[in-house]
Amino acid sequence: MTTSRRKFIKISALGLGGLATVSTVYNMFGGNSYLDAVVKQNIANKFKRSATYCEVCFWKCAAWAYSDDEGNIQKIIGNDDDSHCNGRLCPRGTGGVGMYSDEDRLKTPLIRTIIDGEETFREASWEEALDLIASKFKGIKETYGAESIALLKHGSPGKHLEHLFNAFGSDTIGEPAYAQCRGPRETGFKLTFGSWVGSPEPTDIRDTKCLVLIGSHIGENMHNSQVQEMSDAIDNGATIITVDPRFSTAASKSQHWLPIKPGTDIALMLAWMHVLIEENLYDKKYIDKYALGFNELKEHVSTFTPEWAYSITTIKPEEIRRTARAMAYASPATIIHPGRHVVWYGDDTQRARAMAILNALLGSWGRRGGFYFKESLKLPKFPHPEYPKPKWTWKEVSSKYPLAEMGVTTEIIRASIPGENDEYPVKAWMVAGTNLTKSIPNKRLLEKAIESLDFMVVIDTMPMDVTGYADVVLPECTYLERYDEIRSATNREPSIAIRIPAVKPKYDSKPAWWIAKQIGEKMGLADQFAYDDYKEVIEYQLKELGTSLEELEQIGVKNYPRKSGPLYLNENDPYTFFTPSGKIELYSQELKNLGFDPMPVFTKHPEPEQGYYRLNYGRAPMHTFSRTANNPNLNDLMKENTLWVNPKVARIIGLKTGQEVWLKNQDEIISSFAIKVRVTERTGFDAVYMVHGFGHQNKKLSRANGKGINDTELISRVAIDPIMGGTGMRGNFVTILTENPHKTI
Amino acid sequence: MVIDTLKCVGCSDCVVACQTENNVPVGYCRDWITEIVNGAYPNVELELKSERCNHCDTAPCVRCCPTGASHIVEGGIVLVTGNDCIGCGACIESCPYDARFQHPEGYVDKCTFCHHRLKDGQLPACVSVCPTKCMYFGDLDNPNSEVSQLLKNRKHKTLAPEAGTNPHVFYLI
Repeated sequence: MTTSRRKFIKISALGLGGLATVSTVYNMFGGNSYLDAVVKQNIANKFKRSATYCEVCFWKCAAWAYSDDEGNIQKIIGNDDDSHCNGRLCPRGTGGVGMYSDEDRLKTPLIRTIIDGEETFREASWEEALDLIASKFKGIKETYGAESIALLKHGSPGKHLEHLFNAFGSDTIGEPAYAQCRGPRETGFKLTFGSWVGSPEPTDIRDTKCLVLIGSHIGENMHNSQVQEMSDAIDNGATIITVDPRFSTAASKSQHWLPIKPGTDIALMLAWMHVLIEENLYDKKYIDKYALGFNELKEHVSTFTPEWAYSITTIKPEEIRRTARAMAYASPATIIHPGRHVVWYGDDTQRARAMAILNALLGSWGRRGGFYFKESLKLPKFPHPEYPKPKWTWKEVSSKYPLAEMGVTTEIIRASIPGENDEYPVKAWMVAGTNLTKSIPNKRLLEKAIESLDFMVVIDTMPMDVTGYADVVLPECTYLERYDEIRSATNREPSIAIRIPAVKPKYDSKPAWWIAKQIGEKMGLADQFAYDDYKEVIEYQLKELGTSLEELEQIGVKNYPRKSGPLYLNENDPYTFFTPSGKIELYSQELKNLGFDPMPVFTKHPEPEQGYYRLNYGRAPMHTFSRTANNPNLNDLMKENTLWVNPKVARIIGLKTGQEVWLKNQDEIISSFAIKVRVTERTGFDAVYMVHGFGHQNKKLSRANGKGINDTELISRVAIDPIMGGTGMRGNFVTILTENPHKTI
Repeated sequence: MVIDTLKCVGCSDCVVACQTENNVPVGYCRDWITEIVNGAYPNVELELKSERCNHCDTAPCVRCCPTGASHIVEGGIVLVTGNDCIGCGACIESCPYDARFQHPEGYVDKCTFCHHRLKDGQLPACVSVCPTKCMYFGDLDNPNSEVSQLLKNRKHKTLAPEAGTNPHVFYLI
């Protein structure tokens, strides 16, 4: 193995010219802003309307894509009947147009090659690229077993490739959405209520009287129906309590903003529990009927007074009491929101447990204005032969973490390094829809794993940084150009939505279902893909559901009545939770048996040294992960991230808004690019903040390359949750460099 | 138009919806978001709001237009007839809201309240798309309309009232 074998290739290395003949969407109406509105309207009537659901984020809002005769997507509008969007897409959904029109898209398959001693990519035909993948996969399967080929994925393409992997005998599958995102809360809530929170979260924000956000910044994370419902809650006069060291947008809408010291959420929550129990504010009837371990909890929190928490959190005792009383006053219509990207300090399952226990004390799980019981429709399976049984799966690879509910990506990555996990060695990756250099922390480990691989395929619509590490890059078409799985939504009422191509795939891009089928056929698995077009699968499933593709093309979304019973608990009927005891487990015997704390405890986390600031990161409403930074429409709204610095800190260092700075973290890692300073009172004294998903390395991303800092490259210290393998990423500290450290003398 | 600053999260959906509805070239916009931060950490206030042409009753842009391209139509909407516009830029200078810009094709462009949609009984694109439903559009002359009722019952302001333009975009505060 040579380290240069997988040298990062910037996709621009070899010419891809001659393909970028983007017809201009604009100016098609001539130079008149209004008088030819009639003409415009006539054209508007000629637009074809195609049903789709959005893929710019994971919320999957159903929408209509409007396209013209020339194959341009003109606009995308939310579907009125869809509970995820209620006819209103978020900026990313509206700007989904740019996913299609981006002239920097991947255009042909690419294969790694060496020309004049330089590693580079050359354009290849699909036939050649797919043959290479199939033969490499077959070779690895024969030598090491199919299990040694891993799939790292996100979003819709993942489903089709998962079928391919299961078909050839591998279930070594992981996605950053678990261990790098919402995993801790799923495990924490399951331990308490026996059920995942899931997506969309079954938070009854619409009818809540008190919404508590702890490190969650709804409004900056644009989870559509939640943002809509929070707005309804504001109209209804609900109390909002926001716990965040930064003055988030949500904090600005709150009656109570608690600017907590970073890393001390559990102490605050323990004190809240203390007040609820001490002042007899908890829902006694609910706890007596449904919960187990109340006496242990009461004993456990007896010393965690607001005065105790004050010294840790810097939140004044009277404010802790006042907010606890506000929550109790509104209960059970109170939501302690579980959050979404909840990998903080490595004790995140316990943090989620604390949230779940608070919800239990307030009686909000299964109550109006708290959490409703979600329901979804089970989709009929398109028939295929039984999958072979793998000798080992993601479970074995992730077994270091006993309550991992999905593949732990970072463990799959570790198993790819010889000597790290020789029992379950991983030799090849297929990466689809996830830009690992921005979704996985600890870049050194990631690069070491990539260098060790025998083979790596990346499937994406854009030349994301991760494509530069691949042996083969496959250009996927966007969601606007393909059939996809039926979206079966988990919500108040079940619903299905379809995605049909609004336009033909641009360039030489192909849908993931087609890629999976081609590779499958070349590996001798044709019987697993018994269709010519994925449309046939959808038609079969819709027929089984008593509807048709023709009907769904007309309506886009079909809502179904509930079958699983009422939305909320019926307090006269018994209810069995899906926990081992059938009750809400305030005290977890399961955790105790595994050697973990049965109830959450506060642990002190490292603090920044003098001259260093905690690196906090979050979302902006117009961007998703690192996926949208180059989208022409969304880039226009926000071109780069900025470094939020408190004015007092800025004065000490001598920083001005707009000034370019570089960052160095506690492990001497220096940011690749500069970031512009934003001096603002919205952030405190011990932390700096930036929006995630910028600082792209690939020059082929003409708008996003070199703009801002990639926070993930500065996250080299990872606090792993011993319960489920989540990677806590908020314990990294940076110092601000005002001189360019990359300048050569 | 009435915009509730207590609900706006500044997501810019109104901006991109306007761009795709009205073919506004990337790099230009007819509406935009402003953020105002007051106070010192941790006693901070934040106001987010969506801004655009205020469709003023006493519109300086209309008064100063040498060709009549800028004009007011029924309902009080200020429009620009692109074909009559010579691109002199007087209106751009005169607007206290900086709501006008020169389109790359030469004429002056700005918000039309989606006049082409209104005729069809549809709301302006920005209003119809807003995820927080913080924007309201209707007839201010009708005392029973939603917008009139909001202004009757809620504290509100207009932008740059000192300019004396009698703007038609109101902000609930």
